[in-house]
Amino acid sequence: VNPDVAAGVERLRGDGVLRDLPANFFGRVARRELVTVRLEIRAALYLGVLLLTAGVGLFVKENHERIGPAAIGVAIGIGAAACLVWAMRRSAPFAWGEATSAHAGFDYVLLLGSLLVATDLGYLETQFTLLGQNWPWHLLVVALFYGLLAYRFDSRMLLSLSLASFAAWRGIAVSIGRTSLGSGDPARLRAEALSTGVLFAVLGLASVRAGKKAHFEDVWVNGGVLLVLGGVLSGVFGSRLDWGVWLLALLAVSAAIAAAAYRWKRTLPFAQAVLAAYLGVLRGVLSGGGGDAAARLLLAALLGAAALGVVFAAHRKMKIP
Amino acid sequence: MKGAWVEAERVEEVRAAARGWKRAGAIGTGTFEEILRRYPEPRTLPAPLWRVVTFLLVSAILLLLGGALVAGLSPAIKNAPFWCASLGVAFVVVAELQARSRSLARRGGVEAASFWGIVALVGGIFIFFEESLHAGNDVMVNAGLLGAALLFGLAAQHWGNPAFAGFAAGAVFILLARAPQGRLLWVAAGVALSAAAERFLDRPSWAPSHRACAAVLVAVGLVGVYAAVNLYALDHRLVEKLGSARLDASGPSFGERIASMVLTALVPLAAVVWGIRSRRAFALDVGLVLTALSLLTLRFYVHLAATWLVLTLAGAALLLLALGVNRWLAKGAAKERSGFTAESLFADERRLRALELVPVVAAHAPESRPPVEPGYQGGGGSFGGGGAGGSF
Repeated sequence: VNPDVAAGVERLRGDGVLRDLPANFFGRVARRELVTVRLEIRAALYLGVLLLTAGVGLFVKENHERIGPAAIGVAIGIGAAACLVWAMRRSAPFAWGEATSAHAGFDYVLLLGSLLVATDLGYLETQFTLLGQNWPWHLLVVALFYGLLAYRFDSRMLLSLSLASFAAWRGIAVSIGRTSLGSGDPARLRAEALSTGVLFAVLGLASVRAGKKAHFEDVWVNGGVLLVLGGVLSGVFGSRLDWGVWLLALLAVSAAIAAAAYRWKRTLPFAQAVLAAYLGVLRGVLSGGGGDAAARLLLAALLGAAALGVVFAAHRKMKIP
Repeated sequence: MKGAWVEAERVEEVRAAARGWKRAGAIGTGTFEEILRRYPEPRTLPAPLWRVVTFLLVSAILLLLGGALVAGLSPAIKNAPFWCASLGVAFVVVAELQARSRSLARRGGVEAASFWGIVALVGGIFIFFEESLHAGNDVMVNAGLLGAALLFGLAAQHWGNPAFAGFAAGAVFILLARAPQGRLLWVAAGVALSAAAERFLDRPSWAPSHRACAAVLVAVGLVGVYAAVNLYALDHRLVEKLGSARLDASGPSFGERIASMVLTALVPLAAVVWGIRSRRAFALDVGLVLTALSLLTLRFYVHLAATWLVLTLAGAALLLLALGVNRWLAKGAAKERSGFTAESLFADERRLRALELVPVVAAHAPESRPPVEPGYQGGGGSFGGGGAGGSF
């Protein structure tokens, strides 16, 4: 029971602000006479997908020699097709605007089908080496597949996976457990992160301008900003010689992102830019030469206070919660 | 907690509910504006992202200031308790000043300053017993835990922070684990804590944040009871190891194990039943998590089938069960049954969907392609790279 809301509803009804019908409904929810379990259902669905894909993966790993690649490929394909057909039958018709399905399980069955297809593709590529030396291109195929489904079914989840798969194709790891951008030449990866990030951000802005799935903008732009800032930050923290140049670049990029985010009232890119700039500055302040650690720590704290001031001022002037 | 803060919280509850009604389309803009006019914003309340950023920055500022002080004064270790206490008190004062400010109270800075203040004070207690009193390790740890329980408890009461209530209860449980018969004390304390806190969950005279603290205490109590009776925890002496008490070499008796098996099954079930009967979502959630842990315990002791089969069947069963419950609720009159519905009601579905992206990408994003080596010959890649991960 939320006694404060229940009392508020009664007061608003008494004052004529709320009519009886909605007030009755709001009162029931506040008094816990009606409780939603949507979150629990969605969590169970996600956990189910996680367990099922892990089980299928383990099955393939342990049994592929005994059963044979063709049978395994067909079996996973049938499972994937069943999920995608289910999703297709319950999906809203395609639209360039928002068109999400109201079904609580829709996102997860679609996710399961997509993951099974990706698993199948990866497995068949491993077994039959269809792409040979160019096997990393299957990551691009998967990214395009996820992207196609994301646009057809209006799924932010699949769009995120599509962007992550595209980044993986460019050699950038965004999954848990990675401590760097990926493995290999840091300079090349930095360049890949920057170019991929810019590409994502531009596509996000273009989708808004064209009015085609404009609500996907946050996925595109936030992913792009994350990659760009991650790329420049890796230069600040990863370079021994020219980190000062990278720091200047970071400050310039962060300022540009923060200014754009401020203008278009986008809080997450703004927050990312402020935090990234502060991290970069900390590197500069704390790793400088000399023995006056106290002064450097004090300066870092003062710069933190300045960053906090920027955040407070931006929040007040952006006039959004 | 100050009376003005309690009143402010009550107004914020109604405003938050009104935002949910508006979001769900249950009220129009005119009604929404009228509600906001009648319940004017008592304190500036930024969105969670702003609060997280503020928490991080305030934490960094305070820790750096503390570090500057220590680096500048280079205090002797014997004076460390004094400096820890001074810093702790200073941070707590900073928290209190923010809490009293209408524009700063809900920005995340109170949580940061109070948390680090308490951490510094507890650190001071540890060092005081270690360096000044030269007390033994046991006395030092017990004093530190007692201090943490008291300070976090007082902070939860004063600032209405549910996380602090959880930390206080956690410190009490660790303290009890260090006592003889710690496991039995966990059961007794868990039952007592849950039963006591449950009485205040709906009490109108309590501030909304204090009711949230009570909910956290109920949940911690349930988890404490379960951790004490779980068969895996019993066999592996997890509670005793937590308290680093001397272990009984003989291990649990046959009777203890039988009782533990029964309770490993019954405690989660009881939590689920209570959650359903009382229509308390958080109790239901705790019960479901404990049920999952009991199934994992069962899997640990009973080899039902190959791991892949267990995972696949469990995943399929969970999917079907969730879809079945969703369908069953949706087919009820007005899409509800016994006071439960699968509709989102007034929750911010958009924000929930945005938050879901993080675990999905974290778990399913493919591994990046390896760097191209000179003379490299493709071997077909590692399967699973398309989204299920290469290592499974």
